[in-house]
Amino acid sequence: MASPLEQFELHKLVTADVMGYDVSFTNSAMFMVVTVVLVGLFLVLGMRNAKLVPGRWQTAVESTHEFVVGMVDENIGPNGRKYVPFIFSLFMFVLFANLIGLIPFAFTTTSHLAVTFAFASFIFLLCLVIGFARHGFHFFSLFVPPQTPVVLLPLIVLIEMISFLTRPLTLSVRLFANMTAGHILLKVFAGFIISLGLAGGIWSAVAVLPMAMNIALYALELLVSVVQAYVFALLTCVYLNDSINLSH
Amino acid sequence: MNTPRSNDELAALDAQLAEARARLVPTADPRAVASSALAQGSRYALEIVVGTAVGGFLGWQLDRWLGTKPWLALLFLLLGMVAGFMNLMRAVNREAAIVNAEPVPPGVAPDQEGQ
Repeated sequence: MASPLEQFELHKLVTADVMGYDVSFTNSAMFMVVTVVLVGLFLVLGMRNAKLVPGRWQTAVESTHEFVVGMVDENIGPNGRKYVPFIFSLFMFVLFANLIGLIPFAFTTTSHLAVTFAFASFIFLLCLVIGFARHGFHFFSLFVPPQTPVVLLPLIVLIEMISFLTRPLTLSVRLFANMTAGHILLKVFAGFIISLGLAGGIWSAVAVLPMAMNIALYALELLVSVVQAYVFALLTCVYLNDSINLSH
Repeated sequence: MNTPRSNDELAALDAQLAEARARLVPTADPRAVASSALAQGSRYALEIVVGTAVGGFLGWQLDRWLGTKPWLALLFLLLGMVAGFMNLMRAVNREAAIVNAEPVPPGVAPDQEGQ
């Protein structure tokens, strides 16, 4: 019986080595390419022959874009409009990577902490750069909530700094943990179906139970895929908002 | 079709449109509310866990540099936990403020909220 963790293993498809660094093209990298190509096809083919009264596909493309624009408007405001392309790309990539991962035999790129942390640390650095570029050293006032008693100031600043430093980790761990846990569960229940089905006799009939469970889990995973892509984009907006508008 | 309209006509049309839109989207979809709640909940729960871990790690590193084992690790572990709970408290207060600010819909008896 295959281990439920086997699905997360990386395989080198093309071995490559640049100055001592392993830059092999892995199955994870291949599925990233697939994700990008599919997102591109979805957008480009959907907007080909764009009409004033959109067809189904064009509506799908436009409504996802409007969803992201609405999210940016709501969380950042008018200053956030120029970050829409970034957030939209991020949302589409994570959404498609999550959904592609649910296709049997596909690899889930977002189930690797290395991938999600790379995204999260880039977003974190981006927030720092934008914050310092727009506000200079005044950006440090992010760590001082309004109406803080002076006595508590050192403690609050310390807590706020820890809270700020956890951002890249929470952002990446949430996506990675959700995808990994879901896929392990699916695989474990799939394993039950096979082993019960092969056990023969009454046990084969019992195999219907994990089967039903897996169908329910699959539906849940579809929801989780979309919700986590949404949360990832939403939190990016929230973090960017702190850098752009420096509300407190 | 494309005859130019007066401003009054356009304003009337705007009002009609707004009314039609309001009729189309009467209440939030309960499934959307549930998804949003799931998103929010997973966010704050994780912030407490990761906050604690990051705080503990920072303190542990500082201990190694400053040779104050184990005091800073303990202090920062607590601070990290506090940071996580503070985020949760702020979120709850923000939600409560929104709920309290909402006008009571007609037909619903006012309760003793906010005493």
